[in-house]
Amino acid sequence: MTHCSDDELVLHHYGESPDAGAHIAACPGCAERARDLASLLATVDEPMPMRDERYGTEVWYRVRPHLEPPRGFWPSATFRWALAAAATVALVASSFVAGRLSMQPSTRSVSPTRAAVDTADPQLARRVLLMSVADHLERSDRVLTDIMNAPAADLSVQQQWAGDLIAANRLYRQDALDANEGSVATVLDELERALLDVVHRPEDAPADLDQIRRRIDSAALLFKVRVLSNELRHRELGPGASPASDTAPIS
Amino acid sequence: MEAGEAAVILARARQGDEDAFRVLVELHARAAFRLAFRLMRDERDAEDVVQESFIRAHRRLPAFEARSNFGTWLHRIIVNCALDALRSRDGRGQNRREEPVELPETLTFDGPSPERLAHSDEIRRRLEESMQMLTTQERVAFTLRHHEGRSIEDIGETLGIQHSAAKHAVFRAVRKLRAALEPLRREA
Repeated sequence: MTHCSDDELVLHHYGESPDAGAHIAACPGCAERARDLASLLATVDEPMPMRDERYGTEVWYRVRPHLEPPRGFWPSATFRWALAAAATVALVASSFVAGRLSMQPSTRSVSPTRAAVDTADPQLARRVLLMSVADHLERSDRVLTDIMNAPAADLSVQQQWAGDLIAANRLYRQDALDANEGSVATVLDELERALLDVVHRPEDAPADLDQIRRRIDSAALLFKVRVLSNELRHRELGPGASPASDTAPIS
Repeated sequence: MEAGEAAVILARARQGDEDAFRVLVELHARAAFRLAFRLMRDERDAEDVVQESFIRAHRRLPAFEARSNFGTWLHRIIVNCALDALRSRDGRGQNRREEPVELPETLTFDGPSPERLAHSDEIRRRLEESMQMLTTQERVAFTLRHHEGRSIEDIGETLGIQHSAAKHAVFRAVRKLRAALEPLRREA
């Protein structure tokens, strides 16, 4: 009987020597050596420093100043078509809104998407809504990230931005409900509550800020905002876009 | 995140969309740090490797093949960045020695469990020393095999060496670690 060499045992340990297995099963000496090797290699598995879920954002802020603008960038044919389509939709929507605004004074706040939702083309209305909400979510993402990473001393600028977003957020949430986009409305509802928390935060209250951050964190709000934003962009670009109600709700 | 969403984000990042690249950074940063730390065995060096890896990834994104896996591709960039950093550190005389290690004749072990031993300061100190004794190639090959679960074939491709060279790099690493740790295990 030929016993396993040390190197064969190493391969066996890492599952890269199927032939050695049969011999080790039948040979107590080699089985003992295999166990000994496994025991030795287990001592190498020492603990390592961990990084929490904010680490990715920290890395991004360190990396961002060093990024070069893309060289020789010119959109691909597909992307050019998508851009052209998006521009056309935006143009139609803005013309429609402009037309409505010039014809009659509004009795209540009306979002651009509300105007488009009223059009006879439901597909067009839905696409305008998705694009607008995706843009809104990206702006909200930037504000929330700033709030999560800003020094506690002065948040007045971020509070101003959050205040600007609240009114639009309400309109988009209503539009989403009207368009049967339940999961979009749910995320916008959570976002609105977080924005209100920020706006109404008393000055010079670091404990309060910590509480707001914890709430944003525990609700995974930033993650939800990014996932939804990406999903909407995907649907906006993809053919045969399906409503959010067809997908798993983000909650 | 679903595969479709990941593909869209990747496509947008390749077309120069900064927000999409940010999502990629946020998705992969923690795994990048784990690998970088395993290779560098120093927190600050690992942070430098993570940062440099994402900068290189951004620069090379236009050349990235869409059908490939971004995580695997980034993994290779991290290994290459770590190799550069380790070689640079070697050049400054801050790393391993090249002298051969005497291997013990017998390999017996009757001491306490390795889990308990792993907590001892002495084991950690000796482990650190023994890792420093590995050549850069041995250390990377061993880390990829032992900690990252990568196949020998994959390690060879990542390091740009033959399959047999990758295998022997892992063998040498295990021998050196065994030679350094075995006396302590016997004492325990």
